[in-house]
Amino acid sequence: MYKIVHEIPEGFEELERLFPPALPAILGRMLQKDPAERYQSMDAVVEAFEDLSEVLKEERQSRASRRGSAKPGTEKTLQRDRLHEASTIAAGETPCQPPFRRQVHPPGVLHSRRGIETSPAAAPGETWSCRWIARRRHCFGRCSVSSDAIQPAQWHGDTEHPSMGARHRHRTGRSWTGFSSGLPDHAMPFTLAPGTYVLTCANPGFVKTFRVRVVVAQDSLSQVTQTFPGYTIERVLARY
Amino acid sequence: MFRRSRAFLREARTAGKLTHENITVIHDVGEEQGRPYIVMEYLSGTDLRTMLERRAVMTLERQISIAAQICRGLAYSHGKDIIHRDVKPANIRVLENGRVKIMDFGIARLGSSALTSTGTILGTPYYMSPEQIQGKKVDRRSDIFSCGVVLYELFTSRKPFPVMSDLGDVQDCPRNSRRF
Repeated sequence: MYKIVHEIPEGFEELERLFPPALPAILGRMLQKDPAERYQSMDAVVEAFEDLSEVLKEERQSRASRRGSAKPGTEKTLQRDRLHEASTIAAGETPCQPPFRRQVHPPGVLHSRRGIETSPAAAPGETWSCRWIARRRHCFGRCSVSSDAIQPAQWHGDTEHPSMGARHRHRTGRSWTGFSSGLPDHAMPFTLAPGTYVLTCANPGFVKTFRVRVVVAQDSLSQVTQTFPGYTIERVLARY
Repeated sequence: MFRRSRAFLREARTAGKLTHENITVIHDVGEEQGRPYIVMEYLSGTDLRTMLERRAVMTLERQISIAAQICRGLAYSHGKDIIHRDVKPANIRVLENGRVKIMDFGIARLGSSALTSTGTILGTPYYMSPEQIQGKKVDRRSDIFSCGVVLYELFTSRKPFPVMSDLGDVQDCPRNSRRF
């Protein structure tokens, strides 16, 4: 009660950081304490939201056209693109646009926070399914995460991943069950299609929200969890 | 009690005159054996509260579309001089086709507004505007505030004004993952 009357909305800076600037502006104005400072009619709010969605649509279109007319890459980037495409196709996914910051590692090598480790399960022709690119490294704060992490898709039965504790066991196939992520049950059935997500990460006594880009479709949030050691992906807030 | 049900009927009748794609249609209101009743359109889908509790994944477009539809429904009713007074996620239903319906129009006026048509008691008035809490005059702008709180929760999955005991995200973790 006290908060409603006297305090500013909690987590507003986060809202400002994660969403297009027009949105926090609208919500901030709706949540003014003094009615005279709010929008004076709902019609004005509707208009603001319509403007916002138009701006987003334009932005998306311009982004798409920019992508389409990308200048031919150098030999090296082309090779990386091909590699990227090959790895996604092999994983049974439709090839998607190369990520914002491209960095393709050869299969068999796991890039973790601790450096480069060779995966024990890497066999010739093995496919790699997930790759996470944190677009904004500085958002992670205390949680230091590599900007690009690769995990194999087909993990051989009961092999333990080197970068995870003995508790984390995986089954053959793409579902990473048995992974005690501390994730609420209802969070498990999510399928994350490629895209940019806003996620909340919870650690005991510490919560952080950040943006993450998914390059190849994910079966469940538990796969995401492994990218953030010590953290539990708590909820997916939005998808761009 | 008698007076209350009168108010109920009156409010429901005015709300019944609202016809807008984002407002639940009310077919009939009346009294049966001293108990007021209300017949409204059947809605599939889930309410926004359940969606937020389940942390449904939504694209930004979807969130904006829901937000805009809520605002459109309220804008229409404000145009007809009806203030909702109890805008909250539980009163907003998102249908399977993406259409948003606002429910319980004007019914919230009943008594102290702690009781809604479904009989649930409001625990904490998260969605009340400052002037509503302070007992000042309530107008359409306090609906704008409540709507703002709902939209804030829709976009960020957290309440802008949580109560002190509400640890929020941390408390949502399973017990074993909490190590303080």
